Amino acid sequence: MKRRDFIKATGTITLAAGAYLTVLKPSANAKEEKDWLNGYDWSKHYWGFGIDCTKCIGCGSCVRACKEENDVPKDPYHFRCWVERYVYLKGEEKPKVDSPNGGYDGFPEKYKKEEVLKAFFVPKLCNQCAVPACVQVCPVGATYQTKDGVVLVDEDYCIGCRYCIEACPFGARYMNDETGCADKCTWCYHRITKGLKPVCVEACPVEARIFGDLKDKDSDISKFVEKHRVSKLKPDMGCEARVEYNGIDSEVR
Amino acid sequence: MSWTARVFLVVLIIFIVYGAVKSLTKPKSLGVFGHYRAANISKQLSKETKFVGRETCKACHEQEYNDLCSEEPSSAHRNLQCEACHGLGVAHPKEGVALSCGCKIPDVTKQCMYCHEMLPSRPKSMPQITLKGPEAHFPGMACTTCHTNTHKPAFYK
Repeated sequence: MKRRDFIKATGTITLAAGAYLTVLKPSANAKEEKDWLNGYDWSKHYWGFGIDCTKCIGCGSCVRACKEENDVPKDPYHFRCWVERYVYLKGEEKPKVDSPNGGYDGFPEKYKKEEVLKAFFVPKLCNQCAVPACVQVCPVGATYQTKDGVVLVDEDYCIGCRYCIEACPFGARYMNDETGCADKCTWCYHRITKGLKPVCVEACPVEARIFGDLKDKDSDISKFVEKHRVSKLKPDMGCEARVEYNGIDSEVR
Repeated sequence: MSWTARVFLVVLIIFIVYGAVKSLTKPKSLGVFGHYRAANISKQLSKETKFVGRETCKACHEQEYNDLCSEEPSSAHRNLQCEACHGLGVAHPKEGVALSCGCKIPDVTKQCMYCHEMLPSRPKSMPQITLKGPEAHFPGMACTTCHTNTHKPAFYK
């Protein structure tokens, strides 16, 4: 290489590197972190959810309210929140599980009182796992975990590949055919960040659903966890589900 | 120019083009908090809340609200939210449109039976009736015939 060529090459590199940096840099720090949060401080909260199955009456108020609040398709296949019925019949080992229309229309009288050994309702929703499988599998980064412990879906960025629906061990996700995106329960993120409770908690007539901030020791959820012997679903999956259930069997998964 | 410099130049051009395309197509808020768009959080936070809560209903429906929250022993519905039965009310006060269930619930008996139908899975503490079989509780009659005020339902022994 001649000296002239060497100088030419170094000059081009310097210029190009300069151009590259000037194009990229402003977009990285255009807005500060707090500007994206609309004045909400998510480092001060860590939301928690509890379900008391000894209280649930299976009326389906939560399902009906959730579908309206969150624009969930009103067909019997798409749910952010649904209720399952577990019935142990006398002489049978495994329970009968059903969830007609997710509990939207309540539960029909199906079993005779004399045949039933024990029975209960289990409301289900997204567990907002601490180690979410759905976030890990998303190929485009359209689903993510917030600092206050909720997993959200970016509807503008989701490509509708359904990996997350397959990955979720709880069946909490569904394909919203109207938007072409995966969707799921967000614990009503738009409500809880305004100091309100999720709509299913508000609509529950028997206070079987408990919601609050785990960082606040006087919140409903902290007291619920303190007072009851709670368990979480599928601990063996390793995704660390966060909904605390009271009064369920090991058959509930 | 030697051949090494030419190769170097080609690699450099690829690098610059990559950088330019990336900076043009990458969403601005990607990477502020992590591997996702921070702009989506702003969108999630600004979504409209539709469930208004019974304190809002009180402004116009004070009589019903007082019946519902009554401390009388017969008022077992005092912990209920209006919208649990009547449907969500976000557009209702602003535009005068009906609630999603209608302010008048179309089938009151059906609404009552969501919670009060006899089911073995229900906790025993819940008052339950059946409309079928030998233990039927006045079949064929609307609940409101006897329990006239559903906000403050009376119980007969």
